[in-house]
Amino acid sequence: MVTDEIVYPLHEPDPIPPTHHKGRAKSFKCPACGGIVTIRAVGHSINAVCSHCSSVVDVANDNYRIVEKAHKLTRHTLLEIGTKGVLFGVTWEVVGYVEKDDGSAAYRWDEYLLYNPYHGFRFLMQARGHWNFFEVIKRDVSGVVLENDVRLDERPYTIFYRGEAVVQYVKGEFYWKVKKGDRARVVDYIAPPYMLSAEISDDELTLAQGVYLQPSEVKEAFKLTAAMPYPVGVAANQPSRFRERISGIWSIALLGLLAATLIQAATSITADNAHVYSTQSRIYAENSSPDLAADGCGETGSGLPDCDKAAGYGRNKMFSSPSFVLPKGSNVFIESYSPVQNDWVELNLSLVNEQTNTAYSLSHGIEYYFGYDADGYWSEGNQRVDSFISAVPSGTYRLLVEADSGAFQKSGAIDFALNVTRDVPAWGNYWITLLLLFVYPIYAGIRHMSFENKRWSESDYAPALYRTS
Amino acid sequence: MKKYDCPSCGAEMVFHSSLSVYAVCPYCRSTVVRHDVDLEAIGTMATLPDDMSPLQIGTDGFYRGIRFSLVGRMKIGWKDGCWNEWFMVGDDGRKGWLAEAQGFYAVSFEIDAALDEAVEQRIRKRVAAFRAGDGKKTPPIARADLGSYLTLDKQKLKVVDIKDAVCLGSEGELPIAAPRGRRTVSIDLLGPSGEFGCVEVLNDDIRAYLGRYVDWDALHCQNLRPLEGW
Repeated sequence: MVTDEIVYPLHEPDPIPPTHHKGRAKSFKCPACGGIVTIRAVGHSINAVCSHCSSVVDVANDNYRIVEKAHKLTRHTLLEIGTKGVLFGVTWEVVGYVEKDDGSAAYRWDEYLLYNPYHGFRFLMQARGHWNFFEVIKRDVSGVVLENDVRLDERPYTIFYRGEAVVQYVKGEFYWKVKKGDRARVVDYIAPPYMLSAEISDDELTLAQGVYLQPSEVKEAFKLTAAMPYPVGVAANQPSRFRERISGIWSIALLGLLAATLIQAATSITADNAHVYSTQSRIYAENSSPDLAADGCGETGSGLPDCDKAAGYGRNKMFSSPSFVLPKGSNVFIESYSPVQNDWVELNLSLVNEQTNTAYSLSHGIEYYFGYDADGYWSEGNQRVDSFISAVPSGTYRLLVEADSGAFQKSGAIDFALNVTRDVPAWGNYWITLLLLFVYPIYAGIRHMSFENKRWSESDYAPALYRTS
Repeated sequence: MKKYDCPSCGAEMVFHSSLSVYAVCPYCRSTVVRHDVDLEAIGTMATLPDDMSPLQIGTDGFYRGIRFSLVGRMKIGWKDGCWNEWFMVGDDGRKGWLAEAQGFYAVSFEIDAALDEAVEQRIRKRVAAFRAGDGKKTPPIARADLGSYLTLDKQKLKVVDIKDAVCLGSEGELPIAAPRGRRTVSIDLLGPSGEFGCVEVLNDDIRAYLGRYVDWDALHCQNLRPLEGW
């Protein structure tokens, strides 16, 4: 039945069955320099680079054939062969290192081969200060390499890079044949923080799924004391800090908008919006001599004009309204109007509480200019000005008006109208709230766009939104 | 489970599976074939090449909720390394294989039903072409088809590689004679969510296996082999 098996003489039983021998790293004597070389992933590694002379040795069996002879010292790397670290809850030992570039030497990166005898192999990549943790995946991903958009685990990936990877330096041990100058085609897809990377060598398509790591995570995992390479730019699959937050930020802003609108609507509906007082009147310049009688108004003991029954009355550029009652604490809205033409009026208004003498002062500057020039008709300013006084307590008030105007020089008097309402729905706070609500979301949106712009500036496949030139 | 005495050294040899026809004595490394009532010693197995496998004969674990234990192993070599094929017996009596290669684990079971004739023809053609030497100049993967597909037991799987495989040694009990030097052509297949298929061609005999890749943690293995430094 079996013909090719060598029959050995029978020997004494081995006290321990062979499988119960401990698994352990082994070492061999480098056939090139005689130095002792350790193999950690025994049974997996088929090529090992001598740690003394850098010769590549075939370690698939015990013949230890030289694949490529060398006489070079080993290069120092941030993570040294044999270093252990914990990532994603698993202890990994660095067993190999490959430096690769894109064939043009413009873009180079480090690939550390990590090993755990239970979990197998992983790759830790470092490019321009950015780190990725890759795991080879055994999946037939539809459309990969050929298409620009692929799906994996219900996640859409989009093409980022097609190019070459050329091995520039190796040290450690590998479960595949490695040699400086080895070339492979590379196709990278991204779904930040994930990446799907396809490597196509002579006869094999290898898919690996990567996840972005913060440099601090790597530093901590391997207890590194040396300075980490500073991250430059934005990595292909680096997650945007703002993208993570942006939907939350916008949801909060939109909720805020809804709440503010509801509150605004409720206060608008319940506001009295009641008319308090209005007048159309006239104020005379100080030095003009109005005929008081002609205006049908008499002087009161207060020395202030007390008249708005007539079309207008004034002296000393002053005007006073009759008393009116604000029945409850509320805002007060004052509108002024003056039919000025190429002139100005300044009304200094004081709303005075007759009981407490508390005064709310404000100034309405009305100016309106117009004319014709080479460009045609123009106008500037407004004949109307209004303002709010918020939270005025209830009480009996009167409105004092003191005026100054360019018209005093010309005609000696100005016409004006006042309209006072109270408990008016105010929109100012609403708009300010809205502005504040959306300042950060808009800022975050802009930051996110700029982040994505940086990311895609490294790719030939930028979406239209981030395409430059 | 059936107990025998090793015809060479007299040590106890246990056959866990009625399917097992071949075994290696753990003490004297005699290789034996099982006949109806007794064992026949036919040679001696050389020591298996070292590895860092955490698995050993006697390791048990779970696959899809069913407990299994490993009762035998073949060490298979190919041009770029080697892997382990562990013969596993489930608590439900099912026999399967746990392949351990490059740090990946795949559980598979032989397909009992006869292969579709067209599929079998394709396999024979492909293997003939491979044996004729096209294995050395594999088709450029960049081509539009990126590999072909085979349908095994209604599952359409992608052919990922085809290679010559040689048994480097075996231990424990096995359902096939697995002497050193047993040569097969092995075709690996892959599905969209980690389905694993394997077609093994020994001379003209085709055996097909179907299963899936499994994460280490999902196997919940116990009675593992001690590993120094881990």
